[in-house]
Amino acid sequence: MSDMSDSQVILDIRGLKKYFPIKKGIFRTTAGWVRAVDGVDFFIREGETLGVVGESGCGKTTTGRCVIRLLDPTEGTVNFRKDGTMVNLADMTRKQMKEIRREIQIIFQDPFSSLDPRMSVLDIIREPLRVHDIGRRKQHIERVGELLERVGLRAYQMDRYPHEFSGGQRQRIGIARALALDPEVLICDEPVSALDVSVQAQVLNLLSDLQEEFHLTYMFIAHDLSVVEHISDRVMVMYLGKAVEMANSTELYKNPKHPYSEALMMAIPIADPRLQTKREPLGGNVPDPANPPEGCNFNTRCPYVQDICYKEEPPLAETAEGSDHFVACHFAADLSLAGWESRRSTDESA
Amino acid sequence: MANKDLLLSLEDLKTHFFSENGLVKAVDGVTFDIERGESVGVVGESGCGKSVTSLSIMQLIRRPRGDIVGGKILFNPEDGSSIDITKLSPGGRQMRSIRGNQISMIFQEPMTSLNPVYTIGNQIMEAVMLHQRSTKKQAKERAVEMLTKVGIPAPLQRVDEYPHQFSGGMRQRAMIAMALSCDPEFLIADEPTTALDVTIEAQILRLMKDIQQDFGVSIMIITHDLGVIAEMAQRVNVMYTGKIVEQAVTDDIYHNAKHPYTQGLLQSIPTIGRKQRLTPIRGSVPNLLTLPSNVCYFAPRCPHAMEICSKQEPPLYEIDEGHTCKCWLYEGSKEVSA
Repeated sequence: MSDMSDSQVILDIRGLKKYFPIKKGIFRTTAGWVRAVDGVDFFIREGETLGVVGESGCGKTTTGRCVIRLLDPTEGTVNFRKDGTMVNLADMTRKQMKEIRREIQIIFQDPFSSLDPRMSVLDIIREPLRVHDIGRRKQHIERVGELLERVGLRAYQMDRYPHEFSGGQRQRIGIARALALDPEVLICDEPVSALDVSVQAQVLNLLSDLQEEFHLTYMFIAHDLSVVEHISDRVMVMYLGKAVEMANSTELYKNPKHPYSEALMMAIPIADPRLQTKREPLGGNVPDPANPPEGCNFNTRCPYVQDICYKEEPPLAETAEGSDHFVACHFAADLSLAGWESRRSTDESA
Repeated sequence: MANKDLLLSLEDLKTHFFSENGLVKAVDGVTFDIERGESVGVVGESGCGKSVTSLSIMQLIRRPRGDIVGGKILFNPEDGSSIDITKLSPGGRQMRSIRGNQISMIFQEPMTSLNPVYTIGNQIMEAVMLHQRSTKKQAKERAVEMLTKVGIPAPLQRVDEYPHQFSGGMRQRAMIAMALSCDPEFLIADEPTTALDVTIEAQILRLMKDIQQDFGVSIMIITHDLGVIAEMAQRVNVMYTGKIVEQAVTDDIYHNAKHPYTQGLLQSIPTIGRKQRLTPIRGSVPNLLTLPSNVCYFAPRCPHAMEICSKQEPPLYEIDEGHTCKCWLYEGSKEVSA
């Protein structure tokens, strides 16, 4: 990728790998490795939202956690632009990382388990301020009140406990906590998946507003393809620990270049009975990440598979210079794949 | 029995729970019909009573904490009889011969609804031997046959495997095989694809459609996902706080929604290709414990709320043939007696 020179890039991730050991027997010896993330390259530009989609086990959450070093990467670089220069977060000590976390924060999926039930909302939201030794209690109360109002709650609610709030309100508390230190980047890990449909829209709108107001950069991890298309400027599709495609979101949904992305576009449950797919759904299952196939990871399910796909792994490459559309498929240039819009015509058959 | 094609009709069904903190009217006057061979959707958010409706039909409401306190569930099987399920004892012989035999159910989480210590084959055989009085050998043949029908590869070998050896999608296929093993007339699918990935979800939805055609079974599909309903159902019931607020054929629900709640739901979900700001429904689903009676429960969140909405519960209006809506906005339309 030719983006190191791109001055807008705030996060540049290269060759990121995270392997988890499989322990066996009474001596807990390592019998193998689960390759949760297996060589992912991507970048995020300042002020944009990069959506990350993929099915369970594709490594999207692990990737997010490696970026903020909640997990230590096995290999690879995580370059973050701090005060104009790129620093590699993968090499940082815990102490250095603590400083970086003022700039990069995370919001979790489950608003029930990510808030300590024995802490008041005030203590939950001001914890980052305490950890970083910013201000005293009086300033904290003021800041927490401000944050609560900003995320759509009331300042007087700061003395309450998490169980007194609904799921959507709890997610707002999680967002307020993430914003407490005025970060530049927010990693949103499935922030709306646990919410009811009507509440999900409130939180998505809030995230958009906050992004504009505070010039935030989002890495938005989700499995819901409609939500990701809605909120993202660009989208990265992951499959079995690898990035298979990355492009502008409108472009990717209209003109997918990877057979897996095409399969996703055909499988999205669209809330319109006039947009139902006539195609056969993609067969098979995601292979075991402890034992991925040789060659292209997708060769066990790909309808367009050729001999080369069993031998050589395709690299993630830009389809044309400056297209900003990256794909990892040997036949990206030759295949003519269908986007979601093909579902409009009702007479379409396989 | 007025209509010969009517398989199941719920008439003013009320299922309440008696919690320590008070009465919860989880299902509060639900009326709808399911015709033979039809697939009907029930959609709503958490706490709307969609799952309790299905558990009531199966007589799986655990007493004394909850009970069916009113209404009828009329089941008209092919043999010409007509049974009011609410009159049957949940553990009685007649209910046990209906449950899992004439009416069966598949659940959201296939791992927790399968028994981990029995093989997949044994679990299918159990139902077959109980309901069809077949021998062990016949039951096993049936299990293999069913696994083949739901698209499980190498069924002769898989039949002797345990649930943990199956992937999520395969487990849901096995659940479907089990549910269909006694040739039911009616299948209830409660969030059948919620725990599955999108490509696997597409496979399971396709399988359920094929099965409906091949087996001629009627399906009631319960979900919060408007995309799944659009794909699967011919008619849709929209539920909110224990009541049905709108009922119509699927295309009308999506392209001619009348109830402000249905409209709100459709505007809250992101539509691909339209990057506009979403229009959420304000507030959140109310707590069923603190609901007042005889009002429209949606009024506090409704953009069209009028004075009457918080004073009197709206009746069900018929807006078009087969399209009903419980909302004061349609006052003047024909009222439907519940």
